[in-house]
Order: sequence, then structure tokens, then C-alpha cells
Amino acid sequence: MLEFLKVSKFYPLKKGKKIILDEVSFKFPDDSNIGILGLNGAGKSTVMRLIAGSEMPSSGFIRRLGRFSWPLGFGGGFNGNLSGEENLRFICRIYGADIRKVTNYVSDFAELGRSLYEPVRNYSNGMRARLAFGLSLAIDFDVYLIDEVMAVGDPVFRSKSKAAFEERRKNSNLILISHDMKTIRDYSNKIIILHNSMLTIYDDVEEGIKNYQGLSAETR
Amino acid sequence: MSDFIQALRLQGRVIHAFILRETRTRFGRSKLGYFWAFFEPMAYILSLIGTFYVLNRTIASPIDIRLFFFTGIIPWLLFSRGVSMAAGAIDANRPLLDFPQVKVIDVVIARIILDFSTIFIVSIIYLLLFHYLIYPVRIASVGLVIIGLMVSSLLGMGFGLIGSAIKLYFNGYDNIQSIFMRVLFFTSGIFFFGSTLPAGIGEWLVFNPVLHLVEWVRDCFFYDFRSDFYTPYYPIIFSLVLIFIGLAAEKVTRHKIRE
Repeated sequence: MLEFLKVSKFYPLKKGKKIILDEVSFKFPDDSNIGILGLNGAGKSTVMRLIAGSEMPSSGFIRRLGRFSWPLGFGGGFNGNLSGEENLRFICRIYGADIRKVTNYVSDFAELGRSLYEPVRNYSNGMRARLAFGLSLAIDFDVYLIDEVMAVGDPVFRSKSKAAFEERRKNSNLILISHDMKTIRDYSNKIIILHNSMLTIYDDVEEGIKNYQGLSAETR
Repeated sequence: MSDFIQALRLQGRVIHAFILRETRTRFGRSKLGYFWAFFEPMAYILSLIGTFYVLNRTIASPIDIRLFFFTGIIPWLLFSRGVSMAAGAIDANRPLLDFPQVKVIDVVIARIILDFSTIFIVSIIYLLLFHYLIYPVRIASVGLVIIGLMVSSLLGMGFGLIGSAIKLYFNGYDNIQSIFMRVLFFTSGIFFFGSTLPAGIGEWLVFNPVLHLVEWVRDCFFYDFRSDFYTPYYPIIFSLVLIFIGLAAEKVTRHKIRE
């Protein structure tokens, strides 16, 4: 269960402020896989971070029930000076997960080989994403929050992660951001559009995508 | 109630994870971490002894000058490192604040626990070496010394917590803090007794809680030194007030950190 109650979020700019959400009250549909669409700079990643609890709303409340993952993206979540394995241990501990089981799963899934023992700061973006992916899959979450990293790695890795999420989908849900409509179609069955500091839901994916593409066309 | 216990358990888990993580960053990378932890107090003590020797000064007391500096440096280190540990907690761990269960206070508590334990163990090693190599050490009241040391850490933590909140709004705070720490270093009785201060200065320095702590530790450490300069409640209450303000500031600035 995830609900926004009069949530506002803004950042102060040098001049005025950037408003991401303006008093949004919104109940996210349960048991759905949701694709979040929005123009560049609308604040999709910020909304994701709000959902995860990594950021606090400027005002209002967010009610969530169940285990939400941290926002899985290219940045954040890891300490660059520590190795992948050390980061893994830390994350297991704060989520109360079994370190040995998770390590086995991740070293098998993420295909990092010996790089798992190198500092994360030396990782490529793809390697970071694979580590985050494997790690979050190994820890059971009710909702996975995925920011643009669904399509990382080579085709083999992609089909593997797709299969893994397919498996997860029986018990867990996804909320994802992607600019790639194919990814959106593949993974989501509802669309939320973030536009003009408001959230609008579309039960039909194609309708959502069409509306989103209308937005894109307008601004061009 | 079970919610509360659950929250405590979660916090315990996070603090535990952070202690292990900070241990790894401090001591896991290289042996230099151990080396530095061990020799930092020694470096202070030796340079103070050197300074006193060059200036041809002594302390007006029968107690051993090495132990005199030792009992001044250890509470000072606990305090000053507590300040920098607490104030630097956010900078060192910003990416990890993405995890909603991680609160700044957990990081601070973990770092203080790790730092206290390190300095405490190093102190015991020093005393054992002194005991067996130089001459036997007798401590008047071990328990009260330990409490004094703990309060030193807590005082540093409170000071640093407030600093970490101010830093979010005011970038130049680091400089102010380092000036302040320098002033405290020279006024906290590391190399003098409170009772030997001239009247005009002593009246003011009596407000310095670190001086109280140093006198406290010495008073409880040595059999042949009695200080009537310190009041135990003063640094304790001072620490509690600072921590309280620091925690309130953390709550207020939580938005600011997670931006």
C-alpha cells in the first residue's frame, strides 16, 4: 500500500523554486506494476526517492506498507571507497538479510567476478547497476523501485534479469522509470504521468504512453 | 509498544552495521589505521614532554609527568575526536543516506562507540606497558575514571552533532570549529592543573566543561592528587544539553540532509 497525502516537494533555486509535486493526494493502485513517465526535468527520480523514503516531502505525508527497495539507479546506495562485497554486507545487515545467501546469489547473478572485491568507485555504471540489481533481488522486497536501470548489460544479462523479475512478479511489484517505451510495455500494466507537478494514472498502458507522447510533442 | 521495540531493533541493526563498516574503513584498508590509533596519544605526550623540557618547566606535583599528560590527553582525544566524528558523519556517508532506515544519528552513535572503544583499548595498552616497563601504576578509582572518559566522548558527540546541523546551512563553520577546538586545547588543563591558574583566568576557565573532565579523570586516577576545581555534574549536564539540542537540530534538518 502506498499513498501520498497532500505531498508537496520543491527545491529552492537561485531564483524562486522548482516545484516537483504540488499538494498531491494520490493512492497508488495495489498489486500493479507501474511505469512512471514524465518529461525530462519533471522530477521522476525525485518522486521515486520520495516513494522509497530516501527523501522527505517538503510537506505532507507518505504512507507505505510493505518492504520497499531503495531506489535502484546508477548512483547512490553504495559507498565508493568500499568494495562491492563490503557494501553488500552493509546492506544485508541493515535489511537483516543472510549475508552468505545474498553473497552467493549476487556473485552468481551480477557476473562481477573478482571485481566484487574491488572498490565500487572503480566500477562502470553497468557494473554498479548489476550489483544493485542482484542485491535487491536477493533481499525480498514487496515493491522494487527501478530508476532507468532495467536495460543494463549485454542481452544475456538483460534476459536473465527479465526472467528474475518475472519470477519476482508473483509476489512483488515494480515501480519503474524508463525512457524506453519497450521497457515500459514489457514490465508495467499501469502508467503514471508526472506533469505540471501532478500525478495522473492510466489503467491502460497504451493510452498512458499515447498521452505521454502527446506531451513530448507539445514541448518540441 | 511492539512497534517501538521493532524500531529499536532496526536501529540496533543499523548501528551494528555501521560499526562494522567504519571499522573496515579505518582498520581494514591498511595497517596504518592501527598504527595511527596507537601512536596518536604517544605523539601528543612526547611533544608535550619535549616542550616542557625545552622550556625547562615542571608540574608542581609529585605525580609522574608522563601519566600527568596521559590523563590529560586521553579525555581530550575522546572529546575532540568525538567532535570530528559526529560533525563529519554526514559527509563520510552521504550515499548511504539513500536507505530510508539509515538516520544520521545512527552513524554518529556508531562512530562514537567505535572511537571510544579504540581509544579505551589503546589507553589500556599504554597503562600495561607503563606498568610493566616503567613502574607499577595504581589507579585510585577505575570506575569513575571510565565514567569521566565516557562523558568526554558524549560531550564531543553533542558538540559535533550541533556542528553537523550548522554545517548544512553555513559552509564556513568548519573553520570556526577548528579555531574553537584550538582554544579549548589550550584551556582544558591538558598541561596544567586548574588550581594553578591565576585568579583572573581561572574564574573564566571554570566554564570550560573539558577542563572539568580532565580534572575529574586526574582526581580519580591518582592517589596523590585531589582536585576541588571540578564539579562532575557540570560536564554531565553540559553534555546532555548539547546532545539534546543536537538531536533536535538533527530532527529539524533531516529534510535538508535528504535533499
